[in-house]
Amino acid sequence: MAVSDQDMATGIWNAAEGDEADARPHLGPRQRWARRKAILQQAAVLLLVAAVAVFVIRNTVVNLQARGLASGFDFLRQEAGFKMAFSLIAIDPTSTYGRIFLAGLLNSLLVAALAIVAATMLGFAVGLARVSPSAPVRYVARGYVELVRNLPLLLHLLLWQAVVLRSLPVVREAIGLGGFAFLSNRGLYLPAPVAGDAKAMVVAVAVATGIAAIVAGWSIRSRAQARGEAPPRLGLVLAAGGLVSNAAAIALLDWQVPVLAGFDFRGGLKLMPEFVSLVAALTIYNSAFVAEIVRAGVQSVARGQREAALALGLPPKLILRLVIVPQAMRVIIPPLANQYTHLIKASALATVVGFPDLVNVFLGTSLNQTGRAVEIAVITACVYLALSTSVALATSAYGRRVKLVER
Amino acid sequence: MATTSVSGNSRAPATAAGRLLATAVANPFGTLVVLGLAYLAWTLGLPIVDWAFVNATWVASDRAGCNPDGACWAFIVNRLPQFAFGFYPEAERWRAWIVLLAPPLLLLLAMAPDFPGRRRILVVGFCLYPIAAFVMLAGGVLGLAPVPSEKWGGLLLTMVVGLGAFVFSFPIAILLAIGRASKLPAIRLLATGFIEFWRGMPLIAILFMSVIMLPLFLPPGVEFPRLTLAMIGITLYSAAFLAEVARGGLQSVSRGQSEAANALGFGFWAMQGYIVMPQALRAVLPGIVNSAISLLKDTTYVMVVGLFDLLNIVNAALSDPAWLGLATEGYVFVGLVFWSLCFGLSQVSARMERDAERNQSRTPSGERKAP
Amino acid sequence: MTANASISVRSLSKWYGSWRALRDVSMDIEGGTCTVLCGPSGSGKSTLLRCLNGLEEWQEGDVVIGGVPVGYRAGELRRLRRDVGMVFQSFNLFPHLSVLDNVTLAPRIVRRRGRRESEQHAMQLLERVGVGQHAAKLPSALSGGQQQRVAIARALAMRPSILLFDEPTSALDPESVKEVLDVMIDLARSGTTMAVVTHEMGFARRVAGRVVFMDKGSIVETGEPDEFFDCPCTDRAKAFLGNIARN
Ligand SMILES: Nc1ncnc2c1ncn2[C@@H]1O[C@H](COP(=O)(O)OP(=O)(O)OP(=O)(O)O)[C@@H](O)[C@H]1O
Ligand SMILES: [Mg+2]
Repeated sequence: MAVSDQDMATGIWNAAEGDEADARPHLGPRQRWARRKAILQQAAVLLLVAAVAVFVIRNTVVNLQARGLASGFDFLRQEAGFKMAFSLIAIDPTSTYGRIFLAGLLNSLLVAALAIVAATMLGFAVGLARVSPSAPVRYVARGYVELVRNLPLLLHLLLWQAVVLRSLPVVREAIGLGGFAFLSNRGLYLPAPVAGDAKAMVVAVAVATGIAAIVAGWSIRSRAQARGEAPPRLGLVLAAGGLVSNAAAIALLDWQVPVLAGFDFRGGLKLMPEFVSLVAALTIYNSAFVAEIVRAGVQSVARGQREAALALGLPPKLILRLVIVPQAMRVIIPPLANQYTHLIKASALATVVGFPDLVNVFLGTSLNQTGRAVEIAVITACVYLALSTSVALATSAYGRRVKLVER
Repeated sequence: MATTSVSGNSRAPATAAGRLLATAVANPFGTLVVLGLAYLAWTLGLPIVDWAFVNATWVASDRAGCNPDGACWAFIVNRLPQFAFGFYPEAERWRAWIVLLAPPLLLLLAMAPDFPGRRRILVVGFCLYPIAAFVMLAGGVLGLAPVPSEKWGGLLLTMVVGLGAFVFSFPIAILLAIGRASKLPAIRLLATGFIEFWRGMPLIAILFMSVIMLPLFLPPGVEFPRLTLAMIGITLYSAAFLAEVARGGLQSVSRGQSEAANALGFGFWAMQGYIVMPQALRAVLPGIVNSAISLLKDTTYVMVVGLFDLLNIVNAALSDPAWLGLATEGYVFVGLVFWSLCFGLSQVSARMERDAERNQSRTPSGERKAP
Repeated sequence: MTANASISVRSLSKWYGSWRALRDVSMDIEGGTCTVLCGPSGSGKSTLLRCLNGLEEWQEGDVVIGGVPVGYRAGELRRLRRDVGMVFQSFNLFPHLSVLDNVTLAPRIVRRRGRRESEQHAMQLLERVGVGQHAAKLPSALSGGQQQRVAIARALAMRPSILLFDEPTSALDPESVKEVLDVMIDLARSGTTMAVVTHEMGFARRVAGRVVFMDKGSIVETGEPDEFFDCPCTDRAKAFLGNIARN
């Protein structure tokens, strides 16, 4: 009962090397029986699963034939013949389904990335307000959380869509945001760099090295901290240098500010209203959950730590920043990553408002046009599984590092 | 131990106003925030009250009959039966009423003080509900006129999808959790793969796929209505999440429990059913309720496969020419319904958590140390 | 199987991985007698006891209970365990069930007895071990000694022909120890076959027919309690008894 196959296997292994007389390899009748039973049980389950799989596959083949649908992944190289209302890479009617897939994926990632950043910032603010010393602030934050998280995300989205579409001014009366960005019922207009010249290459290289420098500096610092040493000056210099070079590179670009021309703005980047409401809804909805995660994390370390820090004479505000939040991060990160996975998946709601994300253009339009249901479903599933797996892997890597630091 | 008293230096002033002042002085930033919010509440709140109550119209036959400065609740009032039951035939609505009212009654029973047999009524009630509700709504037996599922809609459909998927996913989730804890690698791997697959997919994609792919998987000639297809997808999705919750519970049950059951001669399934699972599920009851809340909110996604749940039916009604431009009213109504359901459930879960904590601190530690 | 079955262990060996926990252990327990197992920590007492009702799998040798060798198929084991009751060091009561349900659950589910009948029997047993008035409470509301007595009643409710005790008193305070030992003494005097892992010399002297001393996975010495405690033959037993006396 208590002995698993593994124990027995290691037993054999160790015993083969052992020199003690009692440490002989050993399988009694009981172990042989247990092993046979385990094999039979697993074989039975696998057989059942295989039978279901065969049944499903046969039905699918028959059904596909009956409907006269082709199969195979060659469609990815065919011309799709439709345009996308918004894409980060150029899409025209001659683009292939493969390119449509890529554009949809990039759009999904863009939405998710923006919403993750925004929801994290908003969520941390609300979460810290949830543990504020001031009772009214706590109540307001609690009210926000309860109001937001008990409404379906889809309702948030439709509300934003209605609000954005209805209450924003027409293009002519667009709200200017510092003269660089404009908001109207047609969407959000942002300045964008003009790409395509040699300068862009230089800038790209500068940004890349800058980011590398920041990452290197940061990792040097955190590794030193993990060993309990004072962070070396080099790390700080690298990080600062990276920041400066990034800022310089970005300033060097030719920025094109959107300008009103006729019925629409010209130049710059235009974000559809659907995009704006999608990011807004994802941000607001998830910020409430992030806030609860932050609150739970802070409260889990707060009590003892706070008293210890007060005893050291630290002022209360610094305590939160220097002592509690860094420690709480250990508790916060795993559920936060989980929330990010939720958010990434929820970004597929784009379909409902007609923003061309992966699910919309690929699982929707492309599938309708090509009829390659199985292939497209498999690809989409793989993409989302890869995304959630990578978040999970990153979290567990973080968990291992934290454990290492703790020792 | 060198602990300094934290609250020692700030003795509470006697009067409420004094206390308020003291807090305000102690936290100038918070005070500013509060004052700002109070101002906002004043400037925004008054118009909202005017809009929602003072200038609101409750009875009218179309948009034109409504006061343009206030909320046009007449829209909701006129459409209420449709929002509740969708296109369910009027003569048969009593059946839908029963289906809608049973869950709140059961919930009330769940909150009520204990009496003998209460637990049994609850368990049997919740387990039988989806099947009884299906029979009741679909009809065709017991002399009930058949009503095709295309006609179900509104809050009724939300309930059917949410509660149905939840109850059906429960046994699947338990099997998956047991499978994931199995010593047999093949079974463990299968369960893990299944769980991670359904957890990793967006529900939207799952719904699309269940409507498009499931019919391909079925033998030619077998056809399910859209509602059933969507419910299969949602049920498996919910089962994967519930399985992870149940797994947490399984891990919290000490090994001594299964040993004691074994020593008494329990077989595997009897042990799971009478000893392990009751403890495991009780330990994660708040998590289970939270999953139910998520599921209830997620039912709105059925909109993408063209089912008319509460949100979608209101959404569709917004384009009625007689009632144009009433998105705010419609969404506020849907929001109120969902908010009260979800908030109520979350209070239940919070109460359970508090009770569990209280019980935990009372229980003396007598658990067997791991061998 | 007889009402008070005998136990016979024949050259039992058990390995955990490459670690040999039992070495060629042989021993006989006559029906209706009480045998006390003692020995230093890690000597294999629990392991041996858990082999007696098939909670552990061993590699070599046989355990024969009431003349029937202990099998290894799930069904055989389940049937065996119905007749061999076990009491654990940490009680292992079912925390989600009332005391009464703890005692009646196995008879009802495993033996398929009626509720009325099981409850009557359970109440008798609870009275017998002196916790009848706590029948409706949850185990967590009881003291350690009371919980252990409930655990004994739970084992008795299956009408076992053998009772196994694994250090039933070592998690208890001195007062509770006496309550539990009194129940066990009562059981032993009524002629139940018992195998008890314990270091309670008083208990052993009063009711044990034999004491078995184990060390490093083997039985080192067996004897009548008085003989064993007063003049152990082996050095290891002497050292061990010296240790307990000092603590
Ligand atoms: N599941 C297991 N896996 C590996 N080794 C084990 C396991 N259970 C017990 N052992 C080892 O087997 C030996 C005998 O253990 P056992 O529990 O029978 O000792 P014991 O005499 O009951 O000791 P104690 O008085 O501490 O309860 C010990 O060395 C122990 O480390
Ligand atoms: Mg032991």
